[in-house]
Amino acid sequence: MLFNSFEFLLFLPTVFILYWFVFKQRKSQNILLLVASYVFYGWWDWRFLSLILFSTVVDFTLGLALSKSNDLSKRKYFLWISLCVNLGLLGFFKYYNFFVDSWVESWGNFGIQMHRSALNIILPVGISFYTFQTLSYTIDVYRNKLDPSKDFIAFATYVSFFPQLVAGPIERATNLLPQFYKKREFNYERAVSGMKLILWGLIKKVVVADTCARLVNLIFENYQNESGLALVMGAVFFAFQIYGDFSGYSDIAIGTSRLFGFDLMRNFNYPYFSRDIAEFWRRWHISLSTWFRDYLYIPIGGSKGKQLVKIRNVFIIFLVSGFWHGANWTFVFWGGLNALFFLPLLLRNKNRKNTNQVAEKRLTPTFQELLQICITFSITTFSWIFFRSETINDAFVYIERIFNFSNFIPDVIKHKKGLPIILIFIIIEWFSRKQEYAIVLDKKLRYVFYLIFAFVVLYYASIQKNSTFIYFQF
Amino acid sequence: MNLFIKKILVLVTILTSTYLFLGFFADGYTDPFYLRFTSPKQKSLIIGTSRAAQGIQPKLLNENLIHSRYKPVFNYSFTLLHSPYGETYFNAIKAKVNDKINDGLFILAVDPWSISSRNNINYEIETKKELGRLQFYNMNPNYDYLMNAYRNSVFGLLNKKDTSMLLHQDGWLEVNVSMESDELLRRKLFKKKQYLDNAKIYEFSKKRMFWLHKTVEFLQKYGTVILVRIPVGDEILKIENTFFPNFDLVINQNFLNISYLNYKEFGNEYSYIDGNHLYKKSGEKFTLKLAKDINNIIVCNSLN
Repeated sequence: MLFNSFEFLLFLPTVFILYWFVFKQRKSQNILLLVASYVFYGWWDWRFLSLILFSTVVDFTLGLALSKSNDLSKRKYFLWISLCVNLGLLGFFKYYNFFVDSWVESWGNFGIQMHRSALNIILPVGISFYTFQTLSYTIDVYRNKLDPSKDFIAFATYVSFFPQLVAGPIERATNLLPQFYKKREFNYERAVSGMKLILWGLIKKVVVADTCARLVNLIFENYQNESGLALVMGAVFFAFQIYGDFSGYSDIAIGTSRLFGFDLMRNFNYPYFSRDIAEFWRRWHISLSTWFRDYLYIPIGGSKGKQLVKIRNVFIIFLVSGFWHGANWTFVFWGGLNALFFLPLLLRNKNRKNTNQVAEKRLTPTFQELLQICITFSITTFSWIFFRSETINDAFVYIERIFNFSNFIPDVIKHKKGLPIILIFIIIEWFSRKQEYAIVLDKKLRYVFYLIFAFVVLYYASIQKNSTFIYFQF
Repeated sequence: MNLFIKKILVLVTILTSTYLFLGFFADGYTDPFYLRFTSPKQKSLIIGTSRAAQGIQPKLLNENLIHSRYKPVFNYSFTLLHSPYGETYFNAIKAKVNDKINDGLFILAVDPWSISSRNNINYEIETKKELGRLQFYNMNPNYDYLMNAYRNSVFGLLNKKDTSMLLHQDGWLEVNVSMESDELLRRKLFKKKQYLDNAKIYEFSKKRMFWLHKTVEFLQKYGTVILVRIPVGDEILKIENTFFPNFDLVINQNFLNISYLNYKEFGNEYSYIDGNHLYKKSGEKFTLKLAKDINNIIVCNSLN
């Protein structure tokens, strides 16, 4: 089920009413959320519910086993089982064909032809997200940071909680799981902020991302016939498409959770106003970046130790992060590129230089800040070309063709449709950058604005039919 | 909680009623398909692609068919991309036929393309288009169509820009384009190129043939089925003859007991807006001829 679908429009109020008016006890509310989450996921393909259930049972059981054992080797053994099962499932469903193809191709490079036996594997929606969420539970229990859950329903609901099940934010067990143990009270302010987040998320998705998506598809699928300027515009549109799409989904997920009395972690913090790439990564897909930081980067040494170790660790985390996004060398390359951009900051100890908000006490940025923002946006957009392209070769040809300076003006006219939307979006985001979401309005006029926003969503939603979210494929 | 729900309800009510209200503005100018999904189930249908959608005028058929039991006839044809013979079109037809009658008339336009598939994609293209997206085919206003299939925003229903096409209540698509020689030549060249390209990527499909059989068998339960090959211009016919030389033989052999009215040799008697679709005046002439021939078939059948 998609957040921007008619089904969800019926699903959400139904679950909301049942949750607050019928199932008033905590336990029954958890059962309702679990059933609702399975319906939400099963709407796409009910067969893959078995994977979630399997993962849930395995980690729940291992959590209990970990709590009963003080023997370190046994505890390690349980942890390894969890890692093998979860990463094994992820590896099989997401990466099997990739590894087979890469293996065959690499032998092919030496002139040895091998039989390709790729399987017709469907990638289960959201597998990368819920796998990481269950892993965080087992690792935290192993590290004694979290008491294992003895409530199977609460744990199963934590794994499959529908607002963030298929595209995050990737919640930590330490943050989300305890919320299933407590009685939830309806809070008006929280529910209103949830609705605002949902509305703003829909604007990001339906207005910004989907409008850009049409232009991006047009340009990227036809890049060999487009001029340099059109290709630059295509990359910029993609930067806003992926941001609007993914952060829009996160906003809707966080907003929906608030309607049920849950607080999820923030996933995006105005990343395109970052002044360097390190700041960008602190503001982009925060739940994944911090997951990798806590469960991979720090355990392998982080930024401590010799320069070579630091460099190795940075590359490991960025390459793995790239690979997490998809079974394609383009994602790995994209990760590597970001590592290259990040490295100079780390080596000069400047990676934590910009931790505050840009132009914190001013309306506009200084010239230097503006320049830094533009440079950071440019290199980020450059790396998005690899993320969006089908193959690395396509990306290189795309970049090469950017320097084709013919036919400039007609291209601007041809693709101008997305520009005003992006411009308005940037302005709104800039003035809201100190807030959690952009819909913070004057009290008197707020209803007028809500209606305008809602009508804009309705207008665009009625054009873009059946548009899905990019991050579902991850 | 109550305050929250009240506010949300107000917002939802405003949005929903606006949407519902806008639905009433949808009409024959909305797009070339919408009205066909707003009529109730039909007794007699014209089935086929855009050649039939533009070339057969139900109003004239109704006026000229001798047997009133077939009337009214409804044009339920779309385009080659939307309604080649296949499961999607079959389901749409099934939903449109009034299954309480058994004396309807079903005119099935056939041509080499409507039983062929593209060989460069591994799915049937119509499944992704309007007919494949619908659950409700007989609803007025059809919000299912407006929500899931309509290609513009519902707010666009207030602003009708394109008056070159008018879909009539009986399903006939009236196309009003300039017949000035320059414009005509440009359209002809474009269409010719399009069909030359099609000839490279299309091939006869057993699957489509299977669904044509299934469609015929299904419709025979509800009345008389007649297959028709609508005339086209010389250039397009030449391409078709090269692409599928024994098409008529295939149709005749596969549908021995079904009348097949083949007008391909009479292409020169009509004019076309692009060499492929009958100009509306020629459409009138062709429909009258078709009505006459159908009357003859029915008389012959009744004598037998």
